[in-house]
Formats: sequence, C-alpha cells, structure tokens
Amino acid sequence: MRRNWRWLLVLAILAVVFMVTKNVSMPGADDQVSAVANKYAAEVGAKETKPLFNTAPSDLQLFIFALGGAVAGFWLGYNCHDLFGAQSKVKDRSEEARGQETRRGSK
Amino acid sequence: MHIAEGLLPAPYALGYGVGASVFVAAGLKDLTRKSKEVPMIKQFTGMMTAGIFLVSLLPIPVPITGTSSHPGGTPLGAILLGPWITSLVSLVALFFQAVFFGHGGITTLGANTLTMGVFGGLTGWLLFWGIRKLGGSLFYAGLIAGLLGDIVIYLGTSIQLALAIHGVHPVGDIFLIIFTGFLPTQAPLAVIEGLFTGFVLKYIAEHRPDMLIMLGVLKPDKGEGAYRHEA
Repeated sequence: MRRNWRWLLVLAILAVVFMVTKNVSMPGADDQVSAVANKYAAEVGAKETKPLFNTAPSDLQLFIFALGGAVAGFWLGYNCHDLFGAQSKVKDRSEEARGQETRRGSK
Repeated sequence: MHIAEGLLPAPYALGYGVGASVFVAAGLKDLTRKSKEVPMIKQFTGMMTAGIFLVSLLPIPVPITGTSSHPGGTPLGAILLGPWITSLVSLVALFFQAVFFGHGGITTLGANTLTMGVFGGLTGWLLFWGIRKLGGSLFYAGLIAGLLGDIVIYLGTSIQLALAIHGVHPVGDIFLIIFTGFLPTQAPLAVIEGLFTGFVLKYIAEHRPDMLIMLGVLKPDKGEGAYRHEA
C-alpha cells in the first residue's frame, strides 16, 4: 500500500513538472461554463461583471493575508490543545467505567 | 462551482440569497446549541471553515479534459459538523473567496452558499447517515457521501443558472448545456472528493475516535475497538 502511494506521488510530481515546463494551461471549468452561461444571461439582461472588490495582487492584499494568517495561526495554536491535544472526556469516562467494572468483578 | 458576479438577474440573486439565509440562520442556532454541549465545537468550526475555504479554492487539473476544477469539501463538513452549521461555514468561506480572489461574487453569494453549503452538505449528510444505518462502514459511507455530494453541488448550480437565465429557451436545454459543461471535469474530481472524505473519516476514527464520538459521528457505546472491527 505504501509503495502504491509512493508511485502516485512520483506521478503527481512528474505531472506538475510536465505542466510547468511545457507551459500547459488548464483553464477552470467554472470559467468555461461561465462564458457559456454569460451568453444566455445577456439575453435576460444580466452579464458577468468585474468583482465588486479589486482583487488584483497588491501590497494591501499581501498585508491582509499576512495579518489573517498570523491571527489564524495564533488562534489555532492557542486552541490546539482543545482540537488535537489530550483525549477527550468521552474516552476518559469509558476508561473510568472499565475500571469500575474491573473493581466490581474483583469484589 | 462559483457563479460569477453579476451573472444572475437581480430577482434570482435575491431569491437565492433569502433561501440561503434561512439555512445560515439555522446554522447559527445549531452552533449556539452545540457549543453548550460540545466544548470544542467553535474551534473545530473555525478550522473546518479554513479547510473548506482552501479545498473549494484549490484548482485541481484534470488532464483528460485539459481543464481544472475544485472539490467542495462541504460533504465532509456536514458529516462532522452537521448540515446547518456547514451552511454557515460555506457562507464565510465563499465571502472571503469573493472578496480576496474574485472567485464567485457578492451578489451571487446566496446562490453559491445554497449549492455548496446546503445542497452539497445536506446530500452528503443524508447519504452518510443513510449508508451508516444500512450497516455501511465509515469509509464507504464517506466515499459515497463525498462523491455524490460533489456532483449535487454542480447539479444544483446548473439548475440555479438554468432557472435564472433560460429566457426564451427551454429550462431543460439550458440545464443540460451547463451540466454537461461541468461533468467531464467534475466527475473525476467527485471521485477524488469521495476518496478524500472516506480517508479523512477513517484516519480520524483510527487516531482520534473520541473526536468522532464527541461530534456524534460515532456512538460512545461502541468504543475504539468496536470501530476498528467494523471499519
């Protein structure tokens, strides 16, 4: 099983290298369908417009993402113990119950 | 699928927005209720929001068609958090995608939340529990839920768009044009999403079964050993 995963990983890396070196463009299916839908939308008075917010890469975008990443990272770190730390009380309770049963059995 | 800004006529954009807001309100109520019962639910919801934001933005190339698309992530979210909270999570993820990446739009936020969060999430959740009730293992229930949940997202988008923009053309024709435009790229990705959902559930069950018990995905009386046997 582990060997299969290695082959899959090698294939994925080769595919990425091929696409980058051969400059293969993979347009989004969303965009392609949007282009078709836009034709029909125009008939009913609607059409695809530019985003309401300017999403061009900029220092502001970089700043917001750096800030957001830092806040999210600290927040996740702060709550890490709750999410991935000690086993929850559910298991503790079941272990306690098993202990009680063993004690009862020994009596 | 993210319906682009301005693509929906105003009445439809508003209607889909109102429809989505009902489920988002239910999600807020459910999160408030669950936060009293499950101590880590708010942190976990935050983490799932980040996960769905990432997964539904990630363009995965499909070499057969020469195009790329992204999974939804909401079937897994609905299995772990419930379908109502997943609607809320989707709204937040889609809002940030629209604002920062121009992926989707603000006027189409309701429509996109309805398909990704409600249709995808609810389908995944119903299928998962249906298969579990029939005795299916955690992995296979997750696999089917992820696979069909992903397809239903695109089915929903096609219906939404067809209803809104068909004009003088038959709704069925427009629906077929849009859905067949998605299907060749989305079908392989649906398989990937199904496998991803199944493997994630299996992984959590093997390493942290207490988390699944706490979230109500596994029953407490079965215990870790019982899970390993059935999965």
